[in-house]
Amino acid sequence: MVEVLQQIINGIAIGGVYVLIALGLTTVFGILGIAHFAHGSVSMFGGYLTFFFVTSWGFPLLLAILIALLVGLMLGVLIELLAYRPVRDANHINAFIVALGLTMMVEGINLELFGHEQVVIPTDFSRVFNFGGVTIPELRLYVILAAALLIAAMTVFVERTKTGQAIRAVAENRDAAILMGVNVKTIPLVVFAISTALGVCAGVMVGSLFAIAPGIGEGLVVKGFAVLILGGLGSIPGAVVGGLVLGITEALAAGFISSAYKDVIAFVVMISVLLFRPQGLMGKA
Amino acid sequence: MRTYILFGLVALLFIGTGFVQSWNTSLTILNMGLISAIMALGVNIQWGYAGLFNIGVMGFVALGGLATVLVSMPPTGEAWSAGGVRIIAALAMGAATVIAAVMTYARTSGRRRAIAVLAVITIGFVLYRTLFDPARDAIEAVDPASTGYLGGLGLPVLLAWPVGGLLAAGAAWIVGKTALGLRSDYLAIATLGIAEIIIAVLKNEDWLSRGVKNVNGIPRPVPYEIDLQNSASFVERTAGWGASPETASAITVKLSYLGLFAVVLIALIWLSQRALNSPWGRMMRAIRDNEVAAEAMGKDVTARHLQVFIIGSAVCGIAGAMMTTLDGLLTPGTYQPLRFTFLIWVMVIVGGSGNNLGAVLGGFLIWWLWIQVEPLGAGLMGIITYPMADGSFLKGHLMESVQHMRLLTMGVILLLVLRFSPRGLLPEK
Repeated sequence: MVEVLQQIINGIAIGGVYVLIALGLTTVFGILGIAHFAHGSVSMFGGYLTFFFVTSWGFPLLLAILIALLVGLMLGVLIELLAYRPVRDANHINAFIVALGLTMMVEGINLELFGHEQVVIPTDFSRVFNFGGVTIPELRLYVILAAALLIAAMTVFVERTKTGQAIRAVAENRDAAILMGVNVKTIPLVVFAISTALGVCAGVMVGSLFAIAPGIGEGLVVKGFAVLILGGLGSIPGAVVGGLVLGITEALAAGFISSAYKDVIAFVVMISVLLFRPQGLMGKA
Repeated sequence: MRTYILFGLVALLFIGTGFVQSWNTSLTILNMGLISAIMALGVNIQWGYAGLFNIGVMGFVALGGLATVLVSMPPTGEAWSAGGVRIIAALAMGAATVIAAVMTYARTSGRRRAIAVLAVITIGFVLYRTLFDPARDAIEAVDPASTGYLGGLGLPVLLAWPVGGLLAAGAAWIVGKTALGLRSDYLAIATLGIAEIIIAVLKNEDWLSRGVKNVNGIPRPVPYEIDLQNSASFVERTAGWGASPETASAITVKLSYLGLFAVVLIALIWLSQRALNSPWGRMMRAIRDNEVAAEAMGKDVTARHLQVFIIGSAVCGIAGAMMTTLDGLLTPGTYQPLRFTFLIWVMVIVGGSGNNLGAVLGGFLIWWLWIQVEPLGAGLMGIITYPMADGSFLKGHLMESVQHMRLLTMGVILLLVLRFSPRGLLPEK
């Protein structure tokens, strides 16, 4: 039993990362209908950047994350302006190809700037807490807390603020939103900025919990899409539930079924959901 | 007219490569170009005819590769006697579990359904593992350095090509049944998921495909270079060409492959063109252009989508089997789902989606660029950095960046084509 609990705790930590990735993807998808494949690689860029600041320039971790976050915000704006805005009114396939191309480009930039070595963001959280046999490394606890905080902030932003209302309005009915005086030109910018910033946070978490290496971002974004299907496309609660379900399933499967297939569980779960509940766990039929 | 000119230009590229570098290089690129063209044709059948996103092309290609191993490698007798029967029993057990679960799902309802299905799956899984694990270990223990897997059927390797198509078609049927009829984005993500699953299975199931230990020495449909060099009549005949026996034999082997691939490609183009211009093809385009109207005309949209999805994937599977045959080895670790899928999509988009010849043209052109960007880029950087001092940081950096220029070039080509000829080089009529 203790072992099951232990795996669940591990699953929540990695699930938190999935939720952050999926939140970024789901807002972009829900509002702009773009399958933003480059998201994983951009997130890894954020992780690399943090690593670079901490190791090469000796910045304290929090400051490094903060700078990476700001860069992430700006990067999101740039991606929208330069990559997706020109193809907004074109055929659906163009945005899709741009997304794939952007992925390759960002992966290339990561390779060029940071090399192909696997890097781990150094942290000095080495304590391990023990609750009745279940151990939680300090770092994992902070990751869970930070993810929870970000998810809460995101929810408050989307539900309570004026901009959040505008985002939801555009997602629901773009034309009506235009008629109501929502500036549909700036909304995508805001969405991409936030989405990328969330991605950067996820990148930092992956980089400190596990490691960043070329290809990790691609794997992550594919899982992010699996989470979207799991939870229901375009739904924020869906992304949260889907990410946690996936994280916990993965950890349990790795612990009790087969660790070789850990990364495939996501797709098996996704295909079962498509078969039996295609609108997703939290989606409306 | 435009078709002839563009194909002529691409032919010139290959001929130029032959003169400037070597005919051997040119033929190597051309052989892979033929395979790429077939993959692009498969994607074009799905996207161009029916508007279906498939971003799991590599999964179907990998299945084709698996087919090559399963058909052509000699069976490992020892491994079969060690655990062959048991492993087949275990797989049958697994299949029975799935069928039992589906039947339980259909017969029950409400909360009892969830519990019953879960119970069936759990029991089935435990039984499967008790049968499977010892059998797998027994097979993988048989001479792990050279075999450690069941091997294939020892049949002629050419037979693997249609089998690869069949395997891919089977996988496509499963994906299609799951995700077609839902939103189009679901299909894209489901195909990517299935590709990841297929590649993970190939990487991890050593008893089936030797996993990351690779299968090498797959039999060839054409003679080996060394046999040609040792054959007196061959040396005699080629002596008149003015080439050394080594070069002559390498080129003969490549030309034989070229002939085989060209036959497949031409047959597939002919079939695709016939299909596209038949009533069936017109129906497919009608569905693509307006699903609602086609449905109102009494066309079964989902069934037609499934059909075309299976056909396109089968073509990719055939290409995958051909690729593994050409390489002579199966390396499950090298199938990168996103990267190569991107390349094939670029071929289709640049060539002109919806036009079979366009996709084929894109296949040749993009593959040629993909290989030649590095030498071309190195030459270009050599000229740019010529005035700079040797050993300067910028020069070193620029020269080093050549190896990352492939993807960049693909992006630039894509942008240029989309900007000046948005529907591809050979647009659909």
